[in-house]
Amino acid sequence: MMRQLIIVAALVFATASAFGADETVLEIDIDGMTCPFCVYSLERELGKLSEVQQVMISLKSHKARLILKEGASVDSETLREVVLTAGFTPGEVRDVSDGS
Amino acid sequence: MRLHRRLFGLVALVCLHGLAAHAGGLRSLVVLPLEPGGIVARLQVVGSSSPNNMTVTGTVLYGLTTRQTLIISVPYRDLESGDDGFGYVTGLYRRTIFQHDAPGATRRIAVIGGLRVPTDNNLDPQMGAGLVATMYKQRSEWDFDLLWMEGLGRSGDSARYDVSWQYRLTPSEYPEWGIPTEWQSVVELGGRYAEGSEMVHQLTFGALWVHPSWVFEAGIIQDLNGPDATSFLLGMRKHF
Repeated sequence: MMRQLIIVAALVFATASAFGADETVLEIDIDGMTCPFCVYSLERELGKLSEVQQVMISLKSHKARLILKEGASVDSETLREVVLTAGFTPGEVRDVSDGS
Repeated sequence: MRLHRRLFGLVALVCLHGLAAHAGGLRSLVVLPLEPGGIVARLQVVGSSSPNNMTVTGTVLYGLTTRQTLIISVPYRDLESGDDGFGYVTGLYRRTIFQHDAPGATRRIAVIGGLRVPTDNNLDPQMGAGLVATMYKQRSEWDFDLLWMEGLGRSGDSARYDVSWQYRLTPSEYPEWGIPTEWQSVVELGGRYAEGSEMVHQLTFGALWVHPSWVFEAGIIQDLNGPDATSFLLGMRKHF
């Protein structure tokens, strides 16, 4: 039973990974991020964008990574505006979909 | 025994005026961002055994715009004397006037102003203004606040200052991705002044547990002069 579950889970993961190959991933540099309690709202506000599937914050590298929904796109100015409204200073926006 | 309780109550009443300005501490006023429409609720308990009293302060911060925040604070005092009740309801407006951000660092200055309205009919409101500054770099955060409240009518003037240093104990280094929880140490020097008595300076040692949407805090407050009281502080904040 356990072996069957593992096989099914592996198949689901492999299928999801294959679909994920076409996803758009953006990164934006953000200045002023200093603590978990402060960046919570930023993560939430970025996640409210209808085009965004997932948001990840890096306090270490001072940036946010956004995985967009399939076929969606967001312009840089919209992202910068969200970051400014949340109280931080936006920097460069990069498309890192190719893993760069 | 009854006389003892009355004497104790009198002592507590004498300290009541000071208590009104006592609420806060442990980095109570900072200039960190709150998004428009964002709400942070804070509950803080400050207790002392000599005199035996406890003040519970509920505070709500509401983000009006990125740079403007409304702060409403209501303390409830529970005294040994039995003279329990709400003190001043404080409404403050905070506006960030300077912000300089860098990778993992920030420097911000805000002006604050507002009213303290008594729930007791024997007192009159206070109105005042002040300055708040926050600096953060690497693992350290410094907060400074200065607030002067001018008494109107029968209310006396009051003032407070706080200088706070927090140091991130863990994690020593942030993970590559994700928002971690943190432990921070806090050392704070503050002062509380109420007209008719000398400024009471206080030293606070504490710790914060910082979660993305919760903060729990605890500290010991020692008067450096005046009543020479030792108090404890427990608090929590929730970002909605």
